[in-house]
Amino acid sequence: MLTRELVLPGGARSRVLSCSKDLEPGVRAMLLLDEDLFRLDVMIVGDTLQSFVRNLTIGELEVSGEVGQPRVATTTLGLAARYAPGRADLRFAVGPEDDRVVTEVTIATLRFGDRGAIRVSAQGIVRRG
Amino acid sequence: MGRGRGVTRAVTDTVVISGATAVASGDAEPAPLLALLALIDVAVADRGTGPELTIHNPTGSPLRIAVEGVGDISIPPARSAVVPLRAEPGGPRLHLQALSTARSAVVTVTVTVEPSGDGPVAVGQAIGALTC
Repeated sequence: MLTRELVLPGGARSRVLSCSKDLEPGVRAMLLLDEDLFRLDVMIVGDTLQSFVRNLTIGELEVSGEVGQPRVATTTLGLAARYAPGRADLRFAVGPEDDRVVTEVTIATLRFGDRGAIRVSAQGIVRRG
Repeated sequence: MGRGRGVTRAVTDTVVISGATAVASGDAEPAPLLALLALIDVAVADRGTGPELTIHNPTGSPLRIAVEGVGDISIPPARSAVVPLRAEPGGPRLHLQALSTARSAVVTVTVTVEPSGDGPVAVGQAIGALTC
């Protein structure tokens, strides 16, 4: 996993997390971790990608009602269609009421049928609310 | 679970690009694999020492890149850098994060090289998003 700090316009701080793993169907694996905030696991079941957010804060976990409907453009180039590219999106907030942190995650997948694996890549942008 | 305070801001300008191409070999020009947000161009070749990515910065400002297992590199405007894929149990692989301060955007790129009946194929996927 790669983690980098960002300084947003106006001086606010943010963080970008990313990870990529090859998973077998039915295997649950950690994808993103912010040790103070959350852990995101995923599991592929059939054609479904299941996500699990573990809240590591004392505040409530709230998941966006807009999941699956963000403005995301997808493009497939060259031979990539043979690997059945897909994507999913997740947005959630954690942390105490006076210090909420919002994380937007985009997950991209590719299927490698010959070796029975699915590559799952994720990028999460963590922002103070 | 309900809609949380601060969770309702729309995601804007997020993009997922998937690309696959035969790996260029020998003296051939690197084969274009991914191009994203006019922010980063990725091509792949194998000159006999293993697959490597040519990462081009088409922007007018430095592109800061973190490469898993390698470290940080910076590519000047309109320049390129060559990064070899890492040998891993599942095959050659590279995972990087590119950050453009000029465009307030971040891109995650993952590339592997897969065997095929037609020779090695580079399979890449990029996730890009604005950070502002």
